[in-house]
Amino acid sequence: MFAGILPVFVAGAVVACRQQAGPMALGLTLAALVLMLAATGGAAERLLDGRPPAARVALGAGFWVALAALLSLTAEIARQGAPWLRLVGLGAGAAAVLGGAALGLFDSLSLMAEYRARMDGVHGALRQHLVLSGSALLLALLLALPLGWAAFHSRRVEAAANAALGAVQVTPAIALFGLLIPLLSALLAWWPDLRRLGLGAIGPAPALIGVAVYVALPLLRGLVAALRSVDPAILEAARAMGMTESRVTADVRLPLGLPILVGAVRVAAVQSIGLMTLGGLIGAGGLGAIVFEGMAQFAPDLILLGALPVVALALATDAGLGIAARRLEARVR
Amino acid sequence: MIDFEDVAVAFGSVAALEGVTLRVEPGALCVLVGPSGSGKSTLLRLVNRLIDPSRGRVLVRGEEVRGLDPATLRRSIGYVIQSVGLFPHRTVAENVATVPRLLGWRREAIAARVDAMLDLVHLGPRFRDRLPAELSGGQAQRVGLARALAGDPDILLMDEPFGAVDPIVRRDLRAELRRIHEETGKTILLVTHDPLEALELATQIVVLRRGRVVAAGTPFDLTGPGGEPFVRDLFGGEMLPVRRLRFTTVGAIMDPPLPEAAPTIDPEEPLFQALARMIDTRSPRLNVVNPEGGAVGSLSIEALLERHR
Repeated sequence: MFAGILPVFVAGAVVACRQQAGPMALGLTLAALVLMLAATGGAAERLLDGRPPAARVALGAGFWVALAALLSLTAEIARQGAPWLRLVGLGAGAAAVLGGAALGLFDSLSLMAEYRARMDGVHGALRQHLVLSGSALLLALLLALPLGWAAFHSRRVEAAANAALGAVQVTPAIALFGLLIPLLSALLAWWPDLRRLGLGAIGPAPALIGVAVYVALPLLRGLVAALRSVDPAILEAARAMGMTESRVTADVRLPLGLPILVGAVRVAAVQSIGLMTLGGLIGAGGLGAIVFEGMAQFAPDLILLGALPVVALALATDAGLGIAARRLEARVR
Repeated sequence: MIDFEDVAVAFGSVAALEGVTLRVEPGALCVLVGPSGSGKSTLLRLVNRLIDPSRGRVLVRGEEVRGLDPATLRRSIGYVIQSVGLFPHRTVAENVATVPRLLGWRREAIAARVDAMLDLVHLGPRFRDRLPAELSGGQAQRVGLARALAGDPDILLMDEPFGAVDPIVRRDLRAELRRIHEETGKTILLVTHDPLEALELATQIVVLRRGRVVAAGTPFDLTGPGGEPFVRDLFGGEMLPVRRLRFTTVGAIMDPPLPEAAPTIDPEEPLFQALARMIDTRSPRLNVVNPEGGAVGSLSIEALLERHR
């Protein structure tokens, strides 16, 4: 009961002083967040008192709604405030949650219990997920950069590449993975030596390839847009100064188009992290494996244990590359 | 310095230039003037091979440009355009240093050259580290001129260089260009659609219409009696006799000095200044006095009417 009411009071106080969204409001919101988490943890502990160790306390919808409300309030205050406030808010929030976890405040919640039971598995899956999405992004870059370069020089190549990658884009990801499995096994049957390179019809290979061709489209479009974005007068001036075409690209087109390219990488990175979750279905591992295990066992906590890190990873990547893009933008304009 | 020999340029089936033969002498300030679509920008771009002719030859310093590497050729020719085209991600100093860097100059030589160029266009060293977005239109145009001159080219191409700035800045920049032309002795080829700008700046004017040269000569020649109606209309029709007063100095037509007192004028001033001074002071006669104060002659309104052709 009191776990639900407290944050409402504090949040009310925050809303009341929203006129000057500043350190005060941020502190109050963060305090509400920590209080709510701690109180929920305490309530769970009391509920479990005297029950067998296999018993679990699961969180209801009310908790998640309150959490979402407090997080968006924090985000809103941080957005209005100075840049340092954002960093402080982010740091304090993370410190509060991690500190609370270290102190054992949330130990009795089922999600935490599940996490403790599978800590190594989750950490391993998180690392694997990062490596898989990163590799897929790299593979997509290897595909999209030369293709984008060719598309920039020839409208015909551009149309063909857009059509091919667009067709991939409208195929549902699960169907694409399903399609890749027989294709890869046919390839492996024809050229068995590829197995020795670690290529398999199921596992990471189809997931990597599938995700890479998905995110190649935003990268391709981003690169072409970046290269075409430069004012023709600037290009003419560059050529008339005696820059060679490769010099024009290196000194003018790329630096001026870089914010657009980084924007495209941002979209592709977030997509790659999200899509890689489906890799769990075809044995690629990563956080998706935990999600699908949870779905198979009808265990919501297990699903959350896999899904929450995916969301956090995607948001962090988006924010990080967003900052990089804005920095570049400010330097170029 | 620059020769066009029976040059034609066609974009698809559209002829942009037809049968152009023209010579630009070293040290000339040659202005290409004509209505839009007359081919003047095309003619300019032939010089640094931004365009190649479909017929005829273009020679720069006696060499046919078709046989030269475009990048090397362009580094030896300054280029200024209306929209300036400064690199927005580079500072003023880096922009000016573009060609010296391409030419592989030493770092200290480049820094000294940048300072000298900013000085030449009357921008102080405080502009060095600014970005183009922080400049006014006139300042950006000056940086564009400094950048074009930084590689010490003997030829400077300017395509509507003052088109994007307001009339007052435009007047300043024209005066600046005349001064720089006199100081450096560069061969300048300038495109404008403004006939008065052509008359004010040029040592040589080339009038283009529909891809052909319809008249070429000094401003004095082109504003003289006779000539083609199109050219006369272009330079001002009935205003021509007045515009022509710009090209003769007082010293060229003055009489010996007279003892009577009268308003004074310098012998180097053009006749339109003398006429303005007569109207201004309501005096039909001026005493011509050199800067040292010595009386060197006199000029009456009758002499002006009689001798000015």
